[in-house]
Amino acid sequence: MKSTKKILALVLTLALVFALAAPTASAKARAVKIGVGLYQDSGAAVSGVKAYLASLEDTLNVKFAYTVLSTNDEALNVTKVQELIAAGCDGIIITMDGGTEAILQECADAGVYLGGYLCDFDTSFRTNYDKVFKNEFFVGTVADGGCGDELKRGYDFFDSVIEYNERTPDAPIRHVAMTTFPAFAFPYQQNFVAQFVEKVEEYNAANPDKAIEVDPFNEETDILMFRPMDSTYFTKHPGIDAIVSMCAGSFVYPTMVSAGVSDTMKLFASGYNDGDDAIFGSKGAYQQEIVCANESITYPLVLLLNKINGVEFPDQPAEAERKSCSTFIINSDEDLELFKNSVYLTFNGEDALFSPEDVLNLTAYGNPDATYAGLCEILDHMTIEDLK
Amino acid sequence: MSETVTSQKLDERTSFKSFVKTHIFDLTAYAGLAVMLVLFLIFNSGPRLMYNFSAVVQAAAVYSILALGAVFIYSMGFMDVSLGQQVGVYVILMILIGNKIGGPGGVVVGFLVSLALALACGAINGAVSIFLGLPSIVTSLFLMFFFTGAQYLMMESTGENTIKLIQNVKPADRNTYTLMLIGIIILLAIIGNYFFNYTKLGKYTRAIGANKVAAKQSGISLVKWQVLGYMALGFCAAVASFVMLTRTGTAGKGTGSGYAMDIMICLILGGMPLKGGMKSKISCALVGAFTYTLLSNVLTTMGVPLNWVNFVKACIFLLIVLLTCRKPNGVLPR
Amino acid sequence: MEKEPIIEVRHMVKNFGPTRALRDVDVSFYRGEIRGLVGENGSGKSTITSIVAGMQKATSGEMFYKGEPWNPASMVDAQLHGISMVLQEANTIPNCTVAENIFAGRFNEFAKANSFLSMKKVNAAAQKLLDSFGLQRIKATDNINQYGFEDRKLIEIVRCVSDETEVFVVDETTTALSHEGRQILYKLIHRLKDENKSVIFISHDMDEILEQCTDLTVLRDGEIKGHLNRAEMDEPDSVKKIRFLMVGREIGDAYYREDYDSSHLPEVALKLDHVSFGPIKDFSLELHKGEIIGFGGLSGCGMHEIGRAAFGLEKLSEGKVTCGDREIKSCLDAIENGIGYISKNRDTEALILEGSIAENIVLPSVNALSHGTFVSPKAEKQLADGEIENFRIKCNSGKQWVNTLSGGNKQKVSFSKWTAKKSDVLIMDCPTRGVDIGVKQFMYHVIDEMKKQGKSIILISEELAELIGMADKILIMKDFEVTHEFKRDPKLSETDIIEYMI
Repeated sequence: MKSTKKILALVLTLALVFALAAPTASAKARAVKIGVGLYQDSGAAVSGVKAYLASLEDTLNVKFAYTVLSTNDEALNVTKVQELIAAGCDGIIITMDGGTEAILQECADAGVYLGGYLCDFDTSFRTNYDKVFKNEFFVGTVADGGCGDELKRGYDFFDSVIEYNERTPDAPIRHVAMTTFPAFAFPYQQNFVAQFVEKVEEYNAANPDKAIEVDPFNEETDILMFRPMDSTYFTKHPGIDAIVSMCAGSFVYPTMVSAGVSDTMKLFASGYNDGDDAIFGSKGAYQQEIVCANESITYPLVLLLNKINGVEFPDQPAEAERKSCSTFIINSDEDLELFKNSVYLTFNGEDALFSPEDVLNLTAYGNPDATYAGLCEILDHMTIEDLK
Repeated sequence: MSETVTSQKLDERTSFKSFVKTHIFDLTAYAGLAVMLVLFLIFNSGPRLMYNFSAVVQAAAVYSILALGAVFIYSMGFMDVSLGQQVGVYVILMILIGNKIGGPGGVVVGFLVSLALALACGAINGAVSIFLGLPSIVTSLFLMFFFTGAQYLMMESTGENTIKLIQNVKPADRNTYTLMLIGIIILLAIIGNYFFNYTKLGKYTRAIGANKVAAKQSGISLVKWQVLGYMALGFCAAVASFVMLTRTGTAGKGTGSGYAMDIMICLILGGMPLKGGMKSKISCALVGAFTYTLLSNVLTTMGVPLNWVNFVKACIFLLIVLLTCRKPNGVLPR
Repeated sequence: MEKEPIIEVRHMVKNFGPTRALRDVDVSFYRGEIRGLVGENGSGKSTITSIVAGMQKATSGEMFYKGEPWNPASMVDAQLHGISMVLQEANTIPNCTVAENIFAGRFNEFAKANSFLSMKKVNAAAQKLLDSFGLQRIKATDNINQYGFEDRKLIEIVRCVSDETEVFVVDETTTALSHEGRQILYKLIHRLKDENKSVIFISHDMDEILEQCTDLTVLRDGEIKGHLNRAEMDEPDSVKKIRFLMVGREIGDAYYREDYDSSHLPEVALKLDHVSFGPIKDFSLELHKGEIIGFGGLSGCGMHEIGRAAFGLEKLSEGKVTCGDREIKSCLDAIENGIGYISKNRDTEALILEGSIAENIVLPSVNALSHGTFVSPKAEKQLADGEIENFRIKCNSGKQWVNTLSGGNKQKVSFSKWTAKKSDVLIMDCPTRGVDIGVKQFMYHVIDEMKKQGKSIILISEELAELIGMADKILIMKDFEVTHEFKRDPKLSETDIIEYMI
């Protein structure tokens, strides 16, 4: 009896867990369903993009489904996309370029369209262009900043350091070191290093009295293998005023704290994490964070919706494209205040750069005068200035 | 008369209760699979059902094949943490050799080379731990680091993040592909069942897991059968790698990572005792692999919120482990 | 004088699934007595004591301890209330020190709340206890791993008994002990009795029971079958009466072999030729077909090692073991040449407890049963069922797990592994340890039959009566050497042998 009870308990519990977790059924007419494969399951970026997309649902008559992709398991990414297709998605937006050809095959078999977000699809672009970018089911992608060589993030870091020095002439930054993620995952971060050094050398030549020393890049300590930075970094780079982190600051800042330097040393980083506002600008170590607006997802979303509704822009390119996108470069207290009003942090769709009507007007079916050029233009207007 | 009837009923109830009690762990594992299947059917309808069915088969295929091989070593109370990295290296090898030689022949050669390497690693895994007197996990950790490095270096040598097999190995027709995978799974399940239940390999690996000393004193060569058990896993690893290759056609520095843990989870969900022994069953492999795959699938198709997914998975995993964890059946003295 | 009851058991029932281990048992235990509990394996004597000592719960029934209802949560709880039990199986914690073993679960007696534990105090207290038992040679700070089974059993006894102990249960512990160990234990239980405490003593050794106990209770099939007081135990036919109560039938006088024919076939079945390994130096032996050679001695004399070497379990530094013209270098060689081995460590070496009876029985024979790679389940079942029937193993079927069997039935499974394999040479190390008289008698009969069939047997035993009763030749060992050889003789007695052992 005990054993039968156990089985019954298992079945009931499972049913209850699922019932609690599952959404309730809706009596509305079937909306278009768009699946979104993100790179993480939680955090400000996830909450922000979900809030933005949720704000568009009613006006666009779209429902969104979410899943998390893998940075290194192509087969898992194929599985996740298959699950989204099986969940009834008409279009899918992914944030990884892993197993893309197989994913497109699945999409083609199911008649589902695919777009990219926060990813320049560099590997597919260089090595498998025909199978991906010429595939009729691929609508294109928007990068996290610039695409490939177009991304000049090293220059952004340089500009932020100079801006900081101009703001704080009494305690300027004169000595920096850098960090990056491994090249196999983020190949262009090494370019950022070269760009930064190039700009510093130019600056130093023109301003020898304000010269900035950049430590040579040390492969042992300066490449973070998706783990927090080791404290030996500070032994290799003694006497630095700031760290220029081409990778996410969350891998660097905790080590600064445990080494006891977070009050004196500055950090210029990419990305933004919950709680960073308390340690930013005049309040702490962070002096720069670079974030791509959640609203950049509008680019693949509009193209997907056009396809699903069977329409095209009159100036639609023959092949799918990968587009660069402007970014929020937050490098002052004022910038942070502006950024805090964005949907990225408020999780309120009303704070988005675009209203649901704006997005509908960008679509070919919602606005007969809408153009592809008009859609691409919005990507240049996702800077901190646009938040004013 | 009534006494006879009553005692007959008592015997029947007792024997049913006794059956359930003896097989509670297997029944729970099967119950878990049944629940997943029911939910799968509820949340899929019309043409999506067949699509999703084929998606489940594709996702479960690699896990099933690896788990079928892993049963042999788990029944000895061992595990292999290098499994994922091995799969990654084998897929890369198949692509590199396949592209170098070209054509279907190239793929065949690539598979055979990977198979030979997999069998050799199995032999090393099985033999080294006994000869050096090390716990098996130490040897498999060594292989894990070795293969991680090999995977990294092989990809570095290509200068790319991912490499692609030029020769197409996946049937164009989706249904044909699904049937092919089902065929491979069934074939390996039959072979696995035969070797596990009807040959010395399965009987001896279980005996070794149950009591190594008693097994030795009953005439079982520990070295020989440990090696053969690991080689069985190696064989399955090579086949699973090929199946993975048919799915994506690509490989990268991270291909296969995490699979060792996934296989452990599959086997636990399938009711496999982690310490091995006589209660190990080959069915744990397929039950667990499909339960694991369906769980992930059902959570997505149901639209479970993203931040609930891990929580739900953890609850279900914990529940199944609590129900299937083997406690001694009270104490029956001499 | 009316004795005061300290434990009362009323209408106790205990079921293990379909097995009814205790059927409505009423029994009382009194202060100032050493109560022997005897019965065949599976009779329920250990079940009662394990419930009283908190090891498991009864299915139904009541218990009273010192007049109050008694329902211990665990063995530690029972021990804290004054009821302690020591078992036959090993119950010490390996890799810990002797002191840690003695005070396991009681460290808070040596540390104030939220402060450090003083191991120095623990060690000192442990050594004091050991010394009080006359065990000065055991050091409290030593790792328990360096002590043999017997010393660990003595440490368990030290762990169990304190000034607060009111009831002490000894469950078939003496089989693990040497002469010295038994004397220590007997002294202890008599001391407890004199202190008006209660002792419950379970043993299969009838002589021991009759010598040491003040009262006796006999169980069979989960029921009390009779009580004997001291006077009744002293009667001349008490043993026969007790055996009858235990078994439910006349057991007869036929127990050991009745013949004194120590002849054998001329062929040598197994030869140890000047073997040396570990402490054993230059040992030789020839075992002929149809011969039973017995080995006797105190524990640690080297006889168990000889058995292991004969089975290929020891790495020889010199000499060799041969079976016919084939050298035995491993137990695999031994088994392939028809040699079987029953280890004295039944539960850890001879059997796979978490395995079925059938799986255990057929395991050495799997190779012989296989055709190519295929091993026929039908053939396995037939083989196992045959042995279950031959040995009358009490079980529901061959699928029943070995760890649910009584000790005697487990031993039958150990035996049947090798009869199933049709081994021609059988090395038995303490084959009847922890086995009740009914099963013992059966096993002696089997051994006798095997001799008549021309099989060869090495019988290693710590029971001299068994060696005298069964062996054609007895080799007595002391300090890893054979000190004397005895031929089978009706006049041979234990007294003749003992002086060569001590």
